[in-house]
Amino acid sequence: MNSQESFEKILARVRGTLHPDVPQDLVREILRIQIDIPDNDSEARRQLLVAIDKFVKDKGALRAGTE
Amino acid sequence: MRYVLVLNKLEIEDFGPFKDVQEMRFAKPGKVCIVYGENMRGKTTLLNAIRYAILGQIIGRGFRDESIHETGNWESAEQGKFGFRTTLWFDFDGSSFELIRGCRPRKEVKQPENDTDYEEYVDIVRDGKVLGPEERKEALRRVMSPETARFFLFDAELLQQYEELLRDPAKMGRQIREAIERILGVPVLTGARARLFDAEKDIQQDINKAAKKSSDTNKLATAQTQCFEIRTQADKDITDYQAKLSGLEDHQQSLRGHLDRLGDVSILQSERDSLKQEMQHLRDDLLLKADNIRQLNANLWLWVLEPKIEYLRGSLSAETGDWLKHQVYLEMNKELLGRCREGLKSGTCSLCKTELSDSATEVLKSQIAEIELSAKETNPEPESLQVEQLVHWKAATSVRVSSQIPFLLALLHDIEDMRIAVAEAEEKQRDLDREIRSRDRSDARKTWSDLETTQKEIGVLEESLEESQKKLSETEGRLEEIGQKLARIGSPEVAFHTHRLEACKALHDVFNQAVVELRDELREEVEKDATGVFLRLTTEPDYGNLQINENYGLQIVHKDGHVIPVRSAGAEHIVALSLIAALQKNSSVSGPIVMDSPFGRLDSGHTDRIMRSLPDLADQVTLLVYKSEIDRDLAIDTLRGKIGHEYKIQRVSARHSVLLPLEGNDHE
Amino acid sequence: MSSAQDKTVIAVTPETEEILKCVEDSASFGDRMDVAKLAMSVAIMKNLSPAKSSGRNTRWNVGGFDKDGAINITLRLLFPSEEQPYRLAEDLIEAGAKYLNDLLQVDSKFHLLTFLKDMCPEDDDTIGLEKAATD
Repeated sequence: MNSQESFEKILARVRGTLHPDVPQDLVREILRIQIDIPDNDSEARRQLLVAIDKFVKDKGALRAGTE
Repeated sequence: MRYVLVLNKLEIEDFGPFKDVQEMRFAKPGKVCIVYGENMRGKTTLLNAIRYAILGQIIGRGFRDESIHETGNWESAEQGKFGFRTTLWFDFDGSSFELIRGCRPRKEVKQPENDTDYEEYVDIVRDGKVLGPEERKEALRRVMSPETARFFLFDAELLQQYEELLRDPAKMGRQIREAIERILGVPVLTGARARLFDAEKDIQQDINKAAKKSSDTNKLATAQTQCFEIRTQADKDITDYQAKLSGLEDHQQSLRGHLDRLGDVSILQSERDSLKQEMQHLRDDLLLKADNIRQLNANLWLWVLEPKIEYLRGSLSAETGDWLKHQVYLEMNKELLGRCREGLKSGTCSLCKTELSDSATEVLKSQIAEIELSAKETNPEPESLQVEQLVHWKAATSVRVSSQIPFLLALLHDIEDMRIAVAEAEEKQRDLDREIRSRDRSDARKTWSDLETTQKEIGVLEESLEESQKKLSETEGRLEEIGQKLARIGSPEVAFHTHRLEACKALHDVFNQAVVELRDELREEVEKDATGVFLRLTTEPDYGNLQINENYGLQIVHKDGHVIPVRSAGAEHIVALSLIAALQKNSSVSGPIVMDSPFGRLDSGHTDRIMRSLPDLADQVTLLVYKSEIDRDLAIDTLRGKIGHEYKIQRVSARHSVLLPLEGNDHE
Repeated sequence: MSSAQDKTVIAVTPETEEILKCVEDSASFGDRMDVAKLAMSVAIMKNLSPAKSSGRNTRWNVGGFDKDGAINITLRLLFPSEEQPYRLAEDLIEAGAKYLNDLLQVDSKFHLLTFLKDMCPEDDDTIGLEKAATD
């Protein structure tokens, strides 16, 4: 499945279960990776970790900024 | 959004009993295509042809793969033409496809003898463009996978499998549950969840590496490493056990299917007995007709001579007629002559008793002479034959044999037709005998024994699996403790990785929750839709609804709210069909349903209801049925304008069937 | 009429017997006698000369062969000069059997439908043989 419509539909579903510490953008990115890279597990995990790392670094920077 | 798969046309060449090239058109969405065919004519083979066209799979009874070599048409093989081909034209997701699949002998093989002597090929043309290997693979993956195909292409045997699973939800095969969730569109979320879970392990490894760098956390890192190893081993064991379990469950299914097949022998025997009776009636009728012909033939010599005999009868009528008239004349004049002679002798009139005058006496003498002369002159008795003989002959030859000739001709034709019917029935009986003999009874004992062994192995594996899962769970718990300790006392690097891990776990929870909610929502939808279909199909007015459990097992609930504990075979059948219809409706792919002999065990009430509901079960329905399963006139009447095409599978010989459109079938 | 000199048994040659048997087996005749009568009729209608052959074996008593005397009288009517109708019948059977033999198909079987068609005049389809043959 790689149509925009189905992506939004699934995102809408996932949005409804958002964790307070998990921003919507990150969820969107994880979903995008899953849909666009259905077969290449190692590349998908690499991109996934990049996304998580960025989130953690930004959050850390934010925390540092507010402290 | 739903992706719609619409089948348009199937062409098959030398596939099973379908010799040379034959084709069938599927009904347009909203309508039904029906194919009528007696047992062993190729109905199930046609289902297999559709399955092969889409998936490249040929499944026999008990879900065993069938041999490629055995699938090619035997008559063509005897003529030196090996292999087979299917071409399927269909529309999917806005594009038109032509999918060609087939098998042919390898170039170096002159006379193939087994499957290894063949090579398979597949080509796909999408909107006029031939697809390359990767595009082809992707296209086929999207259209239909083998796991989802079981919900679109199924026969009575598969339906029975669902019935058993629905009866015993605990035993619902993992594969079927996964297949159900796959067609419901859950994989995107479960896939993301699985990758996040793997990402957690990657991050834990990063924590471990960072922890090893410090003496404060080195010991914990070592303990963590040991847990990783235990976990890896447990994961591997679980994967192995699950794979073996899956294999054993398939094998168990196959053995059960084989035992069912052996049970089908009684059906074949019953068919053979009916055939024997039919043949006996035919033979008795033949004897009767032959006897009639013998009786008619006894007078055939008269028919040949009829023109001459008619002429003779005509001419003799004149002679015999005249003579007979003469006899009548004599008889009539006998008394008159007697009286005249008496009068002459006595000299008195015999009437008035007066004395005769001389003139009166002369008149009397003259009258006597006239009568006597007339009698002599008009005596035409033929010289050679006595009249009595002729009269007798006329009676004997009076039957007009020519009027019986049309009847004789009709008898001759009937006998010819009946001889052909007897010969065909004898050949069919030989086929049945062969089939029955091939189902070796001793095979049943061995199969039962295999089944018991397999079930024991499954039991042992399930125990091992449970142990490994427990070990994994304990190890995960231990890793969680270590992780928490490391988070408290670890270096900044450890802390960073720990934040990463928390984020990953949070994401995992989000997707997990989404999966659970999607599943719940889909289960509710499936339950609602299955209930709707079920209540339309069942003839029992006290059934209230269907209830679905987390394994997609369905229970029937009485109107009073109680679950119906024991279900009839008919009810099971209806429940299975309801589930399939509901899955169709809720799936991300809207596809055609092809059903082979789905009504076999149902009563007429249920059959009628299913027939009426067919256009609602899926967008495109194709039925493969045998004559006594549903009556054609009834089908036409029940479906009223919703029949797209009709075909029948006609036997040419034991190894050659043709797919013929039925007259008046062009409903589209 | 010198019926005292007429035959009291009908006899046929072995060759004729073979032909009659073949026709009887192929085409549902209850009795070989019926085939013999048919052969006789065919010889009459096709104006075949009565065959004078020897080596005939006794086959049927005339009392059984011609129960109602129809054959006797038919022959006497058709052939008034013949004084021994049963002797004539025997000769006609021989001639007629040869004709039937010629009608045997490639598979050495006598097909009744072919025979009926052969006996009908070409322009006579009053019994619908032409239609029957092409059905």
